[in-house]
Amino acid sequence: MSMHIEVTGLVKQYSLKAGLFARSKDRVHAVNGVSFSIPRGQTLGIVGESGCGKTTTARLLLRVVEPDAGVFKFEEVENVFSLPEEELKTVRSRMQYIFQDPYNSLNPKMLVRDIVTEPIRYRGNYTRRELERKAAELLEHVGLSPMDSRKYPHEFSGGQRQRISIARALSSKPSFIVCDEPVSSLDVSIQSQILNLLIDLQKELGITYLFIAHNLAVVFYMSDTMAVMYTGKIVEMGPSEELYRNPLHPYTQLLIKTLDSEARKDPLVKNDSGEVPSLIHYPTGCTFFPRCPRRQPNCLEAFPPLEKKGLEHQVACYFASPESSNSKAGGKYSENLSDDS
Amino acid sequence: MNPLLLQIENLTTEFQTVTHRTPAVEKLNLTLQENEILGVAGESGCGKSVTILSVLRLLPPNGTIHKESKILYQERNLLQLSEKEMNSLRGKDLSIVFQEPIGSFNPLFPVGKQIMEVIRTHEPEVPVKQAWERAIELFRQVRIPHPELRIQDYPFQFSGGMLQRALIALALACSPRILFADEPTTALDASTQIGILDLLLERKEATGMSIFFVSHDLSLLEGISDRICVLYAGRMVEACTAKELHTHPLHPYTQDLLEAVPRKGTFKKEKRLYSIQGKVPDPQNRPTGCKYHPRCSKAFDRCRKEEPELFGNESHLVRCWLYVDAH
Amino acid sequence: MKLFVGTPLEIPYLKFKKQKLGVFSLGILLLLYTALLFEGFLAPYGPNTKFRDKSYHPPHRVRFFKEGKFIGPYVHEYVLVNPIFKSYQVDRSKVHRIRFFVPGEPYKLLFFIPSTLHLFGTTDGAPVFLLGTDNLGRDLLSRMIYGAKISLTIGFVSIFLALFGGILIGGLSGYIGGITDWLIMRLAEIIILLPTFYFFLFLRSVMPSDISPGQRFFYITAILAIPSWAGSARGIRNWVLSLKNADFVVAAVIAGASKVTILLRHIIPQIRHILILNITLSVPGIILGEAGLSFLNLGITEPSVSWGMLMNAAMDINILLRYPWLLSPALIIIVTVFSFFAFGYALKDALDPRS
Repeated sequence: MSMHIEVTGLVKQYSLKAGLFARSKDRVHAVNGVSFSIPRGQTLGIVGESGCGKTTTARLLLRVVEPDAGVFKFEEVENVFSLPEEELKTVRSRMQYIFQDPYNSLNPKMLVRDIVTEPIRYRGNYTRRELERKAAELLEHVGLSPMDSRKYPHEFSGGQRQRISIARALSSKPSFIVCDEPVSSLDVSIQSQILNLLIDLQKELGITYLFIAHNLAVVFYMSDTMAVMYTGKIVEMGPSEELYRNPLHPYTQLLIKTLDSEARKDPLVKNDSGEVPSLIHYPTGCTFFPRCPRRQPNCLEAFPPLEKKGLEHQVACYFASPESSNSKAGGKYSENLSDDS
Repeated sequence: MNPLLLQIENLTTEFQTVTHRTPAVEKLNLTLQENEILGVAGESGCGKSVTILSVLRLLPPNGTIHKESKILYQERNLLQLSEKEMNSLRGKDLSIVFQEPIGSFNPLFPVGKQIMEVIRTHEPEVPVKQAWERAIELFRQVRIPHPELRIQDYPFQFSGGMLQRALIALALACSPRILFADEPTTALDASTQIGILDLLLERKEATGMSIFFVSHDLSLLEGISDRICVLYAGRMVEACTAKELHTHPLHPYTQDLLEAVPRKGTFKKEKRLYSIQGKVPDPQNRPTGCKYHPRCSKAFDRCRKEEPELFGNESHLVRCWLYVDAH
Repeated sequence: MKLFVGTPLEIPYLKFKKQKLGVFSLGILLLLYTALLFEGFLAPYGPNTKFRDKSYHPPHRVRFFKEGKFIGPYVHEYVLVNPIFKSYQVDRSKVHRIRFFVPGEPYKLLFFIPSTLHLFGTTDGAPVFLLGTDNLGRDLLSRMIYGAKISLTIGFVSIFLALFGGILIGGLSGYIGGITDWLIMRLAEIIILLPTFYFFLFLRSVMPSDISPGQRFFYITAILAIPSWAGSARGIRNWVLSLKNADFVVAAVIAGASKVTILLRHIIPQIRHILILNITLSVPGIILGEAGLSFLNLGITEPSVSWGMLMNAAMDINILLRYPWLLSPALIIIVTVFSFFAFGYALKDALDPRS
């Protein structure tokens, strides 16, 4: 299958500032070798806890933050990461970003029509009138009134602002949009409006989405493929239904259990410490080790590689297995499991 | 039915802004029984947090409670107590857990010391050493590992989930009768949320306290509450047991909400989510008649003109004209 | 009921209106600046018109009743009795009536229309000194009115200079970051640490002395501006830093906006109200700085007039005790400075979304 988006070996480390001239050797390992691909017109969902690197990954793709390593093949461009500034601007018009907080993502001092046309304002020669007509079209497309173009953002509710944000993202006719928690700061009764709008736009325009959210049910609902991230790495990836019915990584299994209203009765969920290892002193072995119900000494040797477990199902665990075989938990199964893998 | 612990009668709270007088909660009646978890569900601006602040009398200076309102706790009207009497209740009989634990601790003192201070404020006769030991015991109860060591840590040394546990320990320090929990797990990651919820439930069983649990997440409330009341635009629109709400939601708002949220195991290929029209009404600009009618697919003439009363019986109340003849 | 939305200015306006002292101060400031425009009309005499035999003339007392009968405002003539200590005695036999809109010395209305009409004067041409005269017999009231031109404008001109520098330096510093930022900020800190007035004195000492009054004005303005850019540069840099990562700025970066566009379209508009506050609250400091320099005879000098310079005449305690009216320019400085502060703080409350 030809891929629209192909990311290979994405890495980003932030160095901690120690002073002016002294750069500390300590680095935060935000994203550690992430690879994925998305076919045109499909949605890849990324889930993970706060700080797992999902937002950094998204911002790296648009080069809002510069990556340390990695290759990003996008349409006919072999590597977006190696493009010079000017070419990047042209390529970036085909990529857009929808932010989480609709209150912070629209400049409060600008008219809505100027906000939604900003991505086309700086390229191409549009007259004032053309921009105005374009703004009206875009607003209608996302379910707002063309009259709204002469208002300021503060005159709108959260859901309407998110529509404005979507209109802005659509203005440069992108083929790829990153949706970074697009509904998590909206009221519950508004969320489905925005989710449905995103789905409809995808069907109509064939846009590829990278969809990020911490709400698991929402990501499952929206995605064709899903990636589970933990400490800057993808630990499991596959078609979302497959991942829901047959999770293989203990962390994915834990996450899926939390969807259940009776989850708190499960001792694994209940006694989970939730402590994530420090990303400054990145451990050599599997980072899920301290919380893992299947941990074994050899898990500490190296982070398990992401391996194929089915047609499109990949998992990074030495003891990947469906839930049932491990209901009793603990290390007694180690021998059987290592044979499995 | 357990005896009543808290009765909110006819509560109306308003806020004065530069230009407007805005009602946040209107004519709210609620009861909380002993050893019960009451789930209060609603979206932003529905008045759920204002209700807690009204009961604890912690409203900002521009908030006022109407004179006809009554909040009865142990046969006393909290609204008529002096500030001093209220102070001795807050933190002792009535305590609160907020969404963001960071703001609830003083960053300059160890968490253990702050818990100890709360104990010593409300029970001055307790010696320092004993208060310290009680703080450690509280840490143990909220399942913070190595309580003897963690007790000396400063707030910034805790992760979000652990700090929320510490905040619960602080709230439980003087064995409250009612714990007000305002979205206590919203800021936490999914896997951490469950642990906190379980902890709250376990403490409730162990101490016999009641929990007034406020959240925007209906499915979360269904999992933990005994009874649930749904608020919309400052009014109660539905109240019944959690089980009943799960199986027979009556108010169109509740029904729509359940249809609009992706549930576990639903995928976009299989089912389109129900889109609720419009937006949450502004508190300054609420519609006439039933407050939900502009967004309701079942609205008819009467809904636009008259606001329905709460119909039904003790076990299931609903504010909707659809059910006026049913009972 | 229709919902009140309010444009970005309406709510601050409503909030400002509620603050009586702020509104009152704004009134005073508007009055002072209007007076500046009509200086020639309001002042009965020119700033350097000397009445040689009237030096240290005390303020005239304006009377309305003569022998129990109302005859309108008039003054008696004061006669010099002691030419050494300049003491005057009232001569009740001579009456000079004060009339409004009388012809007098020629001047240019609004700086370009030639006119001789003054707000008030005596019918018979005898001088009237409402605030007395100085050692050369110049009318203090007229001098104060003419002095407003420099004293009231120097604050704004300096602050605009300082702000321009502040926006440029601070904005770039915040945007570029790294070593540039570090160096600029340390320099700014050093300037902030220096005692401002001594810094003025130091800069004044390197100013050339043989220059025209106009050049002198601009030198003084620049001297007053130099220490103030540091504070605004630091403030602006911090705002740029905090806004640089705001989502809407990231959105503009993705949209392909250039750095200058981002600074001008996205960052500066967010801090507009802070700049306005910065101006209002810094102007009084500059006014005081000018007054201080001129008081020490290091700022504005003859033949220009400024309020600080007028106070230079009241430097000697013996003179001050004998001719206390020489201190009246201090009063107008205090009123102006106080009005700026009162207005500035009222504005600050009105613009603060949290209040």
